Amino acid sequence: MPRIVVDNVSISYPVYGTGGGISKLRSGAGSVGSRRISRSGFGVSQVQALDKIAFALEDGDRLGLIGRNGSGKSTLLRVLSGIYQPDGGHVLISGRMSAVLEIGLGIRHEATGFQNIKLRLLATNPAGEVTDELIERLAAFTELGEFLHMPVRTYSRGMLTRLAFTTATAGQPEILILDEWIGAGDMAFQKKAQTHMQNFVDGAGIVIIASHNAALIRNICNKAAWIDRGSMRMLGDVEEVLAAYESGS
Amino acid sequence: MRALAHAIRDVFDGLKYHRFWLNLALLDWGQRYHRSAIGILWIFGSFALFVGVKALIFGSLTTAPPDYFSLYVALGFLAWVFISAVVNEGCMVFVQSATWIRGISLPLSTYVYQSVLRNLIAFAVSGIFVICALIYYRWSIKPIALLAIPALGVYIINALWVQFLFGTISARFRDFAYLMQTAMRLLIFLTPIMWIPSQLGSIGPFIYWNPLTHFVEIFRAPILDGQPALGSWMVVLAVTVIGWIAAMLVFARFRHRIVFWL
Repeated sequence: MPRIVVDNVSISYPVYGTGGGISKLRSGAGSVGSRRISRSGFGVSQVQALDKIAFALEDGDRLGLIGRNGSGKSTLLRVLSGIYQPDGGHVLISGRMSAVLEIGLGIRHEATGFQNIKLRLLATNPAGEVTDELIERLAAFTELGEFLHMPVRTYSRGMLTRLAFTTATAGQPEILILDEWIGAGDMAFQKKAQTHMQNFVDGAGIVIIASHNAALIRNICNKAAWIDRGSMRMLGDVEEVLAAYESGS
Repeated sequence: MRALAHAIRDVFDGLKYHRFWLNLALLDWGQRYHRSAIGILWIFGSFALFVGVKALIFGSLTTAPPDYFSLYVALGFLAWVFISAVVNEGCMVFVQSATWIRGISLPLSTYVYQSVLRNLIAFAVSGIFVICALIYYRWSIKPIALLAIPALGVYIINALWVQFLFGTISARFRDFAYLMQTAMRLLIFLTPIMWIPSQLGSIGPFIYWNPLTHFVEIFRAPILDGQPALGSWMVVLAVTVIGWIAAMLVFARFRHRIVFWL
């Protein structure tokens, strides 16, 4: 059974080459730069991105993360996916996890569509699970045909999104971490992508999605968390949290 | 202590991703020479030209026989190109993989393996030229020449620690990469590649203070001179051990910070 326990997770990270700019920005535009920023000299600033975040999710849970820009949602997703190591607290994850934080991750513009599909699959499945059949199946899903043998730099924007969408949503994780809902392509592909995405999300035991779309969170999630200035402002029922967020922010 | 164990585990975990970094390394070369007609053969061509011109110019300044000196330059330069590429690209190993490191949680060693393998591919392509040169001059090779194979193994083992250490340092302090670039540009003159130490007069012996001299020597001497270069092996093995310890201590301490430095 997939399970996630986040226990008092805190993280702060350095930002380099900030010079004297941050302090001015902070006083001038306090509403967006809502995280705590302290300067530690030599053009280095320390950002307290998350402060004692705690929650636990069981099989079947769908958690929606809401909060303003810069509140720490994406940082939390990066901690959960193992990219950032928290300074304090623990993250316990059991179950096969997949994090889609950036759908065009690692796309190589000089490589062909085929090579890019293969590369992305190998990054997520190190063992011998990446077979030619799997690559073929994904290639067929993109409907890019002959273009799969061409360098990706020749692709149109829509074609590129088809490729990125297909590789990002390959496989079926038990725990799925999403930074916004992903959709792709022209009208025909959008419909197919929507169905595929729905199955992808439904197939996962636990889903965590950060989104600014309240309707989407209502639609998918059974729990919501409001992250504000790096802290957990509220955690609980979707409607209650959304109502508080919409009236309070 | 636990951080050290985790760092060592990172080194081993990266091996599981061998298909991934193998593909990345090959794509790197494809990308570097994209739309060129002969592609990776440029490595061969430019190496051959460099060695040819160097042997011609510096050969006229030496009393060594032309065939010996040409092979001396070819073998030394082959080793040198690998060493300097490993150092220079090692400084950028994490910086250049920033999008991957920020986008997905993989062992950081993955990118080190990618980079070292990429340099090994160049070594192999240039190595073909050196083999051709050895055949062309009908150079008589003794069985001891087989020692060049473990020497190459030691090169790879050292390339790994160099990249872990220099990659971590330059991720934080970008100036370090430029410092190393400058250092390598100077060191090619202080390493016996285009000249022979015994013909250097009174400064010749000081050349052995440069550890890179010994690295070149353990590869070149068995093939060219039929000598095992045991003294050089001692230096190289000491550097290997000290280098790995230093690299793992630094990597263990700062591994988790690297992502914030990119």
